[in-house]
Amino acid sequence: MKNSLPVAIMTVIALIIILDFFVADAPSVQWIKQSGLVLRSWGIVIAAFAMGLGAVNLLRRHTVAISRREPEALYSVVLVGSMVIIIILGIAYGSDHPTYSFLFSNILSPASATMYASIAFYIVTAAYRSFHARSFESWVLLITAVIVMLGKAPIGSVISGFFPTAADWIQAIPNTAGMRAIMMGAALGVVSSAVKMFLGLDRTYLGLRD
Amino acid sequence: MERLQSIPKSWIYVILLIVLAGPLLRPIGIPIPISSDIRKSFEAVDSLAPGSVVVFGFDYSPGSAAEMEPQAMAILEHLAEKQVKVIGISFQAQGPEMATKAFSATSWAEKEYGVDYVNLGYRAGGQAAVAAFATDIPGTFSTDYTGKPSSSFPIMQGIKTAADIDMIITIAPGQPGPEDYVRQVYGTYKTRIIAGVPAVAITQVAPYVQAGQIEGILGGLPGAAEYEILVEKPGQAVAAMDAQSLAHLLIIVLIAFRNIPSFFKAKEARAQSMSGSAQKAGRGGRS
Repeated sequence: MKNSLPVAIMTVIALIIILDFFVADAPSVQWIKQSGLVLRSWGIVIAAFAMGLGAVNLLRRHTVAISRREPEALYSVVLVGSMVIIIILGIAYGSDHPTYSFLFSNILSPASATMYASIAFYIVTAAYRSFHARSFESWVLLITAVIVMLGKAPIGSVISGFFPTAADWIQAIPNTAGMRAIMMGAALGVVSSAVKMFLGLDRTYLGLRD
Repeated sequence: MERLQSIPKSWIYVILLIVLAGPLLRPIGIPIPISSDIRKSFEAVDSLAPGSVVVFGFDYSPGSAAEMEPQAMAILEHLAEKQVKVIGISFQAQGPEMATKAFSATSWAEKEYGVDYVNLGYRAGGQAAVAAFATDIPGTFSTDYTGKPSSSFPIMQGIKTAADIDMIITIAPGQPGPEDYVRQVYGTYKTRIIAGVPAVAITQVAPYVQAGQIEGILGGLPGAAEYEILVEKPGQAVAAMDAQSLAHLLIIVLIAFRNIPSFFKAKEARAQSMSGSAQKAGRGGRS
């Protein structure tokens, strides 16, 4: 019972969601449509709670780090401090309050943008170190990379019309074909994994091995 | 020659900084050609009749704003010119702030909130939230970004499901993104979708574009730059294109530095081994 009840609940809910996608908008199957609607709104509520749980967990983890004076507790102080300020401001005054907007635009945005922009430096050094052609395959990869890099920047078309045309072809034909194969494989994997869950053969999501 | 294979990291960082900053401070003006993907996206948006309702997914955060925001701004300018109505939504926690910023930095700042456009804020749940949005828009987004009931806005009158929407435009660097809209919205309602993605995600979305499920795609900063040119409002993306071109050239030069010495060394070694085997063959012939 302890194991079969969660599997039964999951199977019923999943079947309603799947049926909702396929059944027509006829009055006889309205209960499926309505049940699907309710279940999806529950999904949003659960996701919101999960975010809250994550925030509480993060706060707990870093508060413990501060109280134990761990070596990198200073970062925890910054994290907990900024988190508490933003939470209080957001709850008390709303996210359209000028102070909230100021902190968002002048601290969070530039800090996040800096993190993202710094990737460019790592990409360039990584490309320099790793693009070392030693075999035929690595030469093919290297030449393809150069064509796509030139084709996807305006400079490529200035050098030759070949680069954008070749880059588009590489992206649209071999690249997309490979991607499509991966996606279809993954989709089939999801279907088979769902069937295993419905049949109770896969119960790892319940924290059970077999 | 071997020194070219071991350029210190710090030097590369400095060179890259100069290569990026130079054209940003002093633009070169490398011509930007318009690709067929961007033209298709532009024509799709251009086909919207005045008064059409567009859902605009601000599904990006400040971290990816450098690449995504110019796309959002360029399309928003086009939508403003087309006099359509825009419902801003987000399935990314920091999206509502990005929407506020984008609306206030474009021609939408002069339009009336609640009548011409609205910012409905963020809903958690990823793909499940996208599915809920498709079947029940006012139920899923019951309030706007500031907490006012969404049903109180004139723009929301008559909007119930994704079938009441003329087009969905999503600017998303990750999940939930265009694929989720295809699965949950296009699959049932056949609503037209335009997607703005980072350059690295084009391949991921390309199968949906080729299948016609996504009508148009904007890829990375070049996509934004091309769109800015088409709407005749060159902005951040056009300004950054010279820097991107030179950065790509720098990478190619560095890759060449890394490989040319090895190439010549391998050629030399091959020549030596060939002459060695010829000598051996010669000695063998004499004996």
